[in-house]
Amino acid sequence: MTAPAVENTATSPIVLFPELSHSAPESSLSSWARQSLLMAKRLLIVWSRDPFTMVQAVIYPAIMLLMLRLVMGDTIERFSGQAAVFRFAPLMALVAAMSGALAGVVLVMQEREKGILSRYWALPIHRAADLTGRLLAESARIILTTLLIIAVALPLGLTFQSVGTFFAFLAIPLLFGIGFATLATAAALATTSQAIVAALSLFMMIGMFFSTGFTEVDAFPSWAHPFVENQPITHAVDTMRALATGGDYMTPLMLCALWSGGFVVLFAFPAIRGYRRSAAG
Amino acid sequence: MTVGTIDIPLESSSTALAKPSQLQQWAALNSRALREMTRNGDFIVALVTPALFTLAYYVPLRKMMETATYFGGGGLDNYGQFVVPLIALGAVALTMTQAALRAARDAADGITTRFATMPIPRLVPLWSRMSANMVRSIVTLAAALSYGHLVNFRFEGTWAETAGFLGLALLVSLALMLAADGLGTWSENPRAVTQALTLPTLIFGMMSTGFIPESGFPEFVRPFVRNQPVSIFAEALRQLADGEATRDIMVPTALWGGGLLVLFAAFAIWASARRK
Repeated sequence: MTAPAVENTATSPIVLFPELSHSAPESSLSSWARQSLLMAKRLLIVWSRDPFTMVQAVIYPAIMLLMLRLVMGDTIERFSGQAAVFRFAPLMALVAAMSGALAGVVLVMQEREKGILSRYWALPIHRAADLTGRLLAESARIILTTLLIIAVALPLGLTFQSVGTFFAFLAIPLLFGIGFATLATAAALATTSQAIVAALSLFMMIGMFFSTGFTEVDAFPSWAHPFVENQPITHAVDTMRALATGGDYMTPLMLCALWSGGFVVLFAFPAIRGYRRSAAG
Repeated sequence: MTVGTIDIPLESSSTALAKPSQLQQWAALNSRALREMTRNGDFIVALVTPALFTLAYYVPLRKMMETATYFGGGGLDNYGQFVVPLIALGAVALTMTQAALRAARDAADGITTRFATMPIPRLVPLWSRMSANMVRSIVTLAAALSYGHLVNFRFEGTWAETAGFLGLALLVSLALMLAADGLGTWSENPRAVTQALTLPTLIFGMMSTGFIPESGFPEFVRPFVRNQPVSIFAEALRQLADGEATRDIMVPTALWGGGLLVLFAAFAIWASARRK
């Protein structure tokens, strides 16, 4: 970083600072949009340089999809009468979205400990830019991981009715992932305990196995039916499965949107408040 | 100014008292590890994880696995009896990951190097970590078997076979934890080591006869599934629990178990004793 140029005059030194390229105040919408994109770019660069995040969020779900197909595929096909990849591919796309959000949570906690969040608060940056930047970066990563899952699933028998259903299929993990990322960020900023990551992983594991992404509702004991039928991962999987197979997707889509929207509405404010508290130190 | 000599005995009583035995050093480091595990909630994790595994494997799969149309015409009579050995091995695998994390943290924080500069035999820290890890393994195995009881898992063999079941599970646990500890000490990177262990655990756990019979796999992977160590250990545990242990499975189990134990112990000792 170069020091500002100083002209040596006899009277008083004149300090020449670089001209501002943006004159909009920090609280304006244009600043928010520009700074959010900048924050998202920063996070994407950080993630791309971190092999552990890439492996956890991208590679593991793809390998898990292959494993599930190899191990459970035939059994589930015999039981449900439908190719298992139509369950496993949506499930793994959602798991990838959640795994990435968990990796993001670890990063948020590290940045809070290092004082980076406090530093942002002291700079002329829009208050919401970091949070929206994180969600934008999450969105980019979710799209990338879902495309990878689809690429792995296509040779296993995944098909789409049309180009429109393909893009709709791609949008569901995005919708769900943003909701989960908001929840995860709020939870991470509400506590200093590392146990929050374990708790969220637990939520993810239970949600994964107790959903229609793993097997049909009928395969579960009757006491588990209410949970399996009404939990958010089931609605997201059912929507994606219906989109891929050409079934009725409106009902599960509405429920999935309600869950995801609910997560955003409920946890966006606690996340912002958590940022404020973290920044205050 | 007078010059004289002072006789100081080389082994004064105070020095002798200040030099604890290897057993005392091990006990001190072992209690340190156990205190840290308790503080970090490792024992809570050791109790909760087998419950999650039981829920995740047994509840969604039981109905399918007990349906008679599968696996060449015959479903499983009692899926709980079939799957609990894998749940026990899965719980043990989790303690392996925690062992690796612990060793890597010690190495990364410089504690391992610090011990190397102190009058502590090089292998005492390793054995203290192992003994503390074994306590956690015993807790998690007890928890897995308790939850197994709830899903109709029973020991139907003799006392000797039941002891064999417990002994084999703990032997596998010790071998895996030695490997994990060696990897953690060698890598000095907690994050890398946990990720490095996730994939083998996933592949060997899922591609085994632990939670579906061999006939449920596609033909081309069956040779690998049948002969890999997790399948052999799971089958041996199953036979010991059922009271039907046969030489056909116990000999390969002993060879795999003994071989892995020797190999991983050598690796852990090398990682702990090496000089940088």
